[in-house]
Amino acid sequence: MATKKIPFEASANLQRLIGRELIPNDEMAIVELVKNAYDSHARHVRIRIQPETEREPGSIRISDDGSGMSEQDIKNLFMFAGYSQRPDEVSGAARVPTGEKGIGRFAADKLGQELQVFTKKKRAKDGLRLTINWKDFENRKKRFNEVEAAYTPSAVPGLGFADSGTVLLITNLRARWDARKIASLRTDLADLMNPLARPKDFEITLEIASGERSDSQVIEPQPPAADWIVDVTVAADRIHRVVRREGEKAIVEEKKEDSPADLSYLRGLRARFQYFDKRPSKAAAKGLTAGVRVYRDGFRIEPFGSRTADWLHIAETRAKRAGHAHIVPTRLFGFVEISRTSHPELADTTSRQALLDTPTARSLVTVLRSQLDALGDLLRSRAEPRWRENRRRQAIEVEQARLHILGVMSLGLAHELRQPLQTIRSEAHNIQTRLVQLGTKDAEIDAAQAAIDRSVERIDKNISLVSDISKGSVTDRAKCDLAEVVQKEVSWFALRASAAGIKLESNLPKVQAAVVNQFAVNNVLINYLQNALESVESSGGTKITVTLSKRRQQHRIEVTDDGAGVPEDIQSQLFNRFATKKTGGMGVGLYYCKTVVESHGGKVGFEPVVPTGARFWAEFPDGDKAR
Amino acid sequence: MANILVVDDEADVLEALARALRLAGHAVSSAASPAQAIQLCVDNSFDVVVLDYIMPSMTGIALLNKIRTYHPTIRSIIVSGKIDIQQSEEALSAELKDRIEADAYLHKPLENPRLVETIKSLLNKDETRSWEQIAERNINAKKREVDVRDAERAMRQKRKKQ
Repeated sequence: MATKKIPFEASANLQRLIGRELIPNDEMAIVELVKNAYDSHARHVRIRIQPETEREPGSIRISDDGSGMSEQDIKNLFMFAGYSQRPDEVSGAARVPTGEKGIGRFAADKLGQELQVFTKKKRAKDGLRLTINWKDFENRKKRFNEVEAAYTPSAVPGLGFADSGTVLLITNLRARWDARKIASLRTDLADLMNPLARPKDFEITLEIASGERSDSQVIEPQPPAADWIVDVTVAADRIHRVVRREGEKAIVEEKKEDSPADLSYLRGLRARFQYFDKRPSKAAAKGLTAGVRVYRDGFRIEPFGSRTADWLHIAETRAKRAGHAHIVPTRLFGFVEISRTSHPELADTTSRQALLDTPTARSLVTVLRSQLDALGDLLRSRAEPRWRENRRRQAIEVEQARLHILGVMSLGLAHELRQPLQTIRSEAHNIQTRLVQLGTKDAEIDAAQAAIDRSVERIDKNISLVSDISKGSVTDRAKCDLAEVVQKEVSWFALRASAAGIKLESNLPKVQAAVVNQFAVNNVLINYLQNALESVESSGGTKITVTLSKRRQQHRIEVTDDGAGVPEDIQSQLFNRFATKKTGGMGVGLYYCKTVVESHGGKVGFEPVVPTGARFWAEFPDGDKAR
Repeated sequence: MANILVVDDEADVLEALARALRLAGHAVSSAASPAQAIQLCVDNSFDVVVLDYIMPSMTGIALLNKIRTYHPTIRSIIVSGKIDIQQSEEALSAELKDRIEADAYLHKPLENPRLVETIKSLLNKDETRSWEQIAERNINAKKREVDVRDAERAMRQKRKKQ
């Protein structure tokens, strides 16, 4: 028997698989259609969405000013499923097509049941109107090529003799286009273009009709608002890298490096990496998903930047180092711009598989990879080691537990201790009074009575201190006027100071709005003032000054006195536990200040004052900036 | 000289304060519990009552409200070891007057002369309280009691639900 040949035939149902299954969602379906418009050399694409309302059926209209299609084009290109022009089939002056699968047109099926195509070539008298009802493909028994679309000569609305273009009108919409879906479409469209170098000669307008009115906006791609910005430029045979950090004016790092790879074909290449310290919110990422994208003349090339394309081996590196690599894929956004004219080596080969296979493309990967490694090193040098972070968190927890217990105890303790104190004080007084009544008036007895009184007073003050310290939570932050908080404490101490003949001056701004833990501020201030007062009192000084200021989100409180100052041998351990130069001091005051302030991410310190005296200071970070 | 009732659940403190007032020339009765204080109030009349704030069966304020039903015009001083020294006693009095309505608040441990002085000034106060004022105060106190009871009940129910 002679050999016979049987052709493959496809069921009409194949279209369904292509149109509905290969396109992940409605937004991406529109993106596919916009790409088709780009490939037809359109300069302007206008998408008009009419969401379905009670009065009007919904519709989607995508019009472009591309080259349009002739009858022949429709037969050979549009109606030929799975075919698209390869980059090398396009003449040099034209754009490199973005479509590679040749199925973009079937995306219209995802959006609505009926598609009308109006298209017209330049200087053609008439255009064509092609009507496709996707329902025709539903018959599984039918062969793919048995499905027919009717076309008739027709005028194309809005196009004159010299114009060309294509209008796709999709009706019988399958989805509801609510605000959320539209917002997501806006992001997906923006993601087609390089936010840092928008494509020349290409613009997308999205128009949303609602009733009589319509809202029309040009799509503006936006880069994420990241914490780190790394700009990489290939200049001559060197790579120039500038690292900046959000909110800091100064450049963090600037370097010109030789490259491990051959740069001859990469001259003028620009890339920007944006990196977040924490996984960004959708808003901070401007709706974009993480990934390093590649743009050719401003227009995004697939699959770079998609979740599955780990073309710079970022996820791989992280996996290999089991989480110790400093670049986390979900926080990294990259925008690599290549150009057809400057990098022909890349431009002509950037189809899906080819990019990674040419020496130039491999150099590109090597160059960018080395830049990311440098960023990784920088992050590592900047990051706080995990053990230190853990230790600090533990310190806060321990301090909180301690304070809690202290709080519970001090409540009972205050009452428990003050009762016997009352008895001692009253009875001592009663003895003295009774003796006077019995005719015994004696200076020794009076002195003894006064001593008992003083001691009782001192115990009482310490009870108060303990209950103050344990009051309030260590973590609460509240809005307050710091100037007022400080002023309050200062006026309370001013009474005591003036009684001892000491001047207490304050140098405060009128208002200093702050988000801090007032309890911590109060405690530090009480401790500092108490120390200053005692020091000035015992050494014959005259003055204490309290200063409040703010610099770079740090609130700074200073207490300066002209007392005897701190002996040198004790200066280094001032803030340690049980370091005290005072007789009768518990040696916990400054240690306590340090713990509380540091648990709020702040700092404490001391400096001697010339000719004599001491200055104690504390800095608190403001509100949300605190860690 | 005045008739003074001192109430404190701690015997030593009670005795010390009573002695101080006796030595200052006052006639002093002492009660070691709220129950005993109420008992004394039924049979005797007092010009001033000095109360501890924290006692086992009821607070000084609750007791004061009870005592007032027998002696509406009685002057009162609440003495507490719980009051914060940072807050001046005057400020505290102003803040709490509306709520507890004792005539004076003193912080423990206090000096005898201070207690004596306070009593003296309360007695000398040329304030003849009108019966209307007293009645109004008693009504307010009742209202507050009800409010507190309601709030407590609400809290208990909330806790049960949780």
